[in-house]
This record gives sequence, C-alpha cells and structure tokens, in this order.
Amino acid sequence: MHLNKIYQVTWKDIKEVFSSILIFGPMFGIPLAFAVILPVLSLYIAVHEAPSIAAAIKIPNISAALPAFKSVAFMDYFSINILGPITMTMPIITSAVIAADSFAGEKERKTAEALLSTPLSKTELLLGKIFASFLPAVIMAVLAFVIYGSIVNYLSFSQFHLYILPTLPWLLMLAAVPFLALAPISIVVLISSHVKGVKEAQQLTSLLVLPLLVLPFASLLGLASLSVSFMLYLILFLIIFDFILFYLSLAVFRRESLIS
Amino acid sequence: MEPAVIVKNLFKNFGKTVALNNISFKSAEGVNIILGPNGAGKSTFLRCIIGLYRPSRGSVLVFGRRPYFDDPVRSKISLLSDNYALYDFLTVKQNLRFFGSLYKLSDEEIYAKSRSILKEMDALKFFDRKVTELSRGTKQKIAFCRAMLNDPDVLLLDEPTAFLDASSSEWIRNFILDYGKKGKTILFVTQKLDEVSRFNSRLIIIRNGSIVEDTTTYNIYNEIMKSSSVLIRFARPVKPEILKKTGYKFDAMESKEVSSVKFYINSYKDVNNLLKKLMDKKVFILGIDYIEPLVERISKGG
Repeated sequence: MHLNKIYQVTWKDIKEVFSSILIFGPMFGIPLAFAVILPVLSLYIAVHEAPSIAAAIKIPNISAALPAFKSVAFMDYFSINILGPITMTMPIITSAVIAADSFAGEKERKTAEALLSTPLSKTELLLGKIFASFLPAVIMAVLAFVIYGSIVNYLSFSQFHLYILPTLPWLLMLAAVPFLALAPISIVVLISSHVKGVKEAQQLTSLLVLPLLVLPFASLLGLASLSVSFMLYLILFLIIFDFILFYLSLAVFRRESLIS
Repeated sequence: MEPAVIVKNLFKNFGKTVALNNISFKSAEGVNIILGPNGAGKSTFLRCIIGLYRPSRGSVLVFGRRPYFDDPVRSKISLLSDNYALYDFLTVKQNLRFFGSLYKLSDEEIYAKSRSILKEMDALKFFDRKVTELSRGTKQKIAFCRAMLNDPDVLLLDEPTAFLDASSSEWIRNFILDYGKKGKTILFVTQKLDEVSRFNSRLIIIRNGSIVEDTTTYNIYNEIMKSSSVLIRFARPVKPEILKKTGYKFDAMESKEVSSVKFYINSYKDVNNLLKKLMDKKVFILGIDYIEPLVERISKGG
C-alpha cells in the first residue's frame, strides 16, 4: 500500500469538490451557520425560558440548581448535551455528499475506467475515497466546535461572568468525531460503488445518515447522558465498528462494479 | 520471446449476454489491429486485458501476471478509450499530475513528458485550462497524453482517433507505428477500414465475441476481398444491359437505369478488369467503394 497514491486520490476528489462553490458552499456553510446560530439561541432560551423548560422536561441538573443558577445550569446542559451532538453530526451529514459522489460520480462521468486502469489497489482506492469525505467532515467539525465553543463562552461570560466550555465530555465529543464519521462515510462510499449514478447514491445517503441524528435526539429526550464514561465507551465501540466495517467494505468492494 | 499478452479460452458474460466467447490470443510485438462491428466485444476484450473486467472463464496474462488481481502489472499497461475519461473540473495539468503520480512519476517527469507530447499535438496551450472548457478533440489529445505518461509496454487503444481531425489522427497513427518499433505491444481497436489500410500490421477480426480472422492488414485485400463486392457509382445512369456485358454478377437498386451498382468480384485484381470493361462501354465512373461492402461483410460474416 502506497500512502502517496491514497493521498493523490483524496487530493483529486477534494480538488474537484472545491472547484465549485455550489458544492462546497452549502457543505461548509450549513454546519458553520449552526455553530453560530445555536449558541445564540441557547443563551436566549437559558435567560428567558430555562426554568419553565427545565420543569417541563425534568432535567435533573437544572431542577436541582438554585433559582439564581438555573439559567447557567441550562446553558451548560444545553451547550454540551444538545448543541454538542448537533455540532458533532452536522459536518458528517453534509460531507456525506462527497462520499455519495465518490464512486457514483466516477461512474457517471465515465472516469472510472481511466482510474481503475492505473496500478491503484482496492485498498488504496477505497481509503483515498473515504479520506476525501472524512477529512472535510473532521475539519468542519473542529472548526464548528471552535466557533461554537468560542461563542458559547463569549455569551456565557458576558451574561454570567463564567466560561462554560471546554468540559471533558465536550472535548471527548470532539475526539469522537473522526470515529463517528468513519462508519457512515465508509458505508456511503461502498454504496456509491454499487449504484448506477449520483442521484441514486444521494437518495440512499440521505436515508443512511438519519441514524446519526439518534445521538442528539436521545440526548435531548434524556435517553442518553453524554457523560465521560458514555463518551469513552462510544469511542471504543466506534473504533471496533470502524475496523470491522472497513474490512467488510474491502471484501465487498468490486472494481468491476464501477465500470458500467 | 514470450508474447506480452496471452489470452486463453476467455469468456466474459454479463448476465445471460455472452460478450466474449472463447477467445484465445497471443499478442505480437508492434501494432495488433482489432477490427469488428459495434457490439462485437472489442472494448470488452481490451477491458479484460487491462483488468477492468474479471474473466468469467479462461485467463488473461500480461507479462505472465493477471491484471485484474495483480495491481502492479497495470503500471506496464495503458488504456485509451473513445471516451476521454478526464476530470472535467480539474485543469489539464492537474489531470496529468494526478494520473502520473499514480504511476509513481515525479511532477518534473510528468510535466516534461506531457509538455513534449502536447506540443507535438499542438495542445500545449491548453495545459492550464480546465478540461470542461476544451473541445472533444482536444480532450482526446489530452487523454492520449495521459495514456502515454507511464511509457506503457502494452498500449491498448480503443478508437483513439475518434473525434480527432485528420492531421491529429495522422500524427497519432505515426506515433503508434514508431512506438511499436520500440519493442512495445499495441492493441489498436477500430471500426474504420480506411484506418486499417494505413498500417502494415497484424489484423484480428472479432465478431459476436469471437476471433473470426487472424491475418494481416495486407491480406485484408488479398484474402478477405475474395468473393467480396465493390460499390461503383456512375456519373451518368447506366442501363443494366451494359452492366451485364461485363460478365460480373451485380445487384442494382433500379431496374431501368442505375446510378450505382454492387458488383461481386473474386479478388481485388478483378477491380481493374471490371473498371476497364465498364470504361470500354463508355461508362463514366464517379467513385468506387470497397469499404462499405467490406464492412458489411466483416460485420455480418459470410
């Protein structure tokens, strides 16, 4: 396996994505807009609606807090348990567009023939394609975390005179992004190699990334507590799952399926 | 010396469709022309050789290795198809750099080689342009340049001159002839009989997924034109009675006076004899086409 060949495939795909603002604009714009809008929204809710919401959905940390600290507790809870998972999953969802295009695009634009005629191995090709979606997802997530963390801290300091972030679960959430991104991207890339065209790949992708929304919703509904131990178990599970998935992808991937 | 490409009892099926039907073939050094009608299996054959398709049965060996399974051997092979297969939103330079790097070439090597080929083809001026901005013919020139980057020992060309102007097509044909003299193996797929006539090389005719003739381009006139036909067009309509006097069997569309007629001949030597007889009868000949009937024969057999 040659790392340079993997790099070249990744570089080529990323270069293609960045050749048009119509492709990369929404892909980067949506997660980054969320990273700005959501903290501002959370502050508004924390200041004006925190006690009533906390009472309604019975969030233990907030209910137990003294009345004067209810808003701070809400902002703290909201920033980590609600905004964290959204910031974590949004870049993965948007960068799945690149994954959907990876092989389906080569097939549709009839470039797969030239690509597969080179001495690229199956592993190099798959890894190159996966990284082309994985790297933007991770870079976007880091950017989104930095922006959202900075805004949360700026707002919380100006309102409550304290910094809410970073906390350990929040940092672990950021650390989990690469492992969380790898699984859906690998599946989408594999699907992309088996469908006829980009449209078909995108339809299936939109269905496949839906499970990613389980984490923010479970957290919102109080079904999952994003504690340190939960995040560590999640990361461990994802590492094992990613490895299994990659090896399965390699076994299932057929070069021939890219030639129509 | 062992042939670069050895194909044994190759079958390739797509579902119930048999695309290649028991093909056995050993390449010769230099140019090997593969001729056949649409859907004969020519492109599938090339795709099996470079390892894009896995053989359903039989084997394909290039330098003793199987290209579908053995990735490194593909660095010695190159395929240029009728579809240019370049990345539209990258520049020519970026495209060539990408493909060259997959053959472990340095940027300097890629650019030097590309510039020299593109300059010869009068396409160097497009080096920094996006592929999407180029004409179909220019894209094909860039694709040819890409196919030559790895200096392939086995060059597979699937109608490389499609969409090219006459001078570029001629340049490519001359380039291929010179390249073949360097000990390289070239498999040149075409449907154009006039293109075949420009080479003096081995000729393989594929029909319905099988090799039906393995001959030379010279013999195409000598052997394949045996019991063949030529289409003759007249400047002025001619009565069938005059045509009957030539002694050759013919098919005419009209019953009274004909402006073109298909004569059946036994060999290419009959063409001169037939023309002489027609001219003796004061028939004015506008054109003679041996290609159309020959293509028909190659396509349908017989």
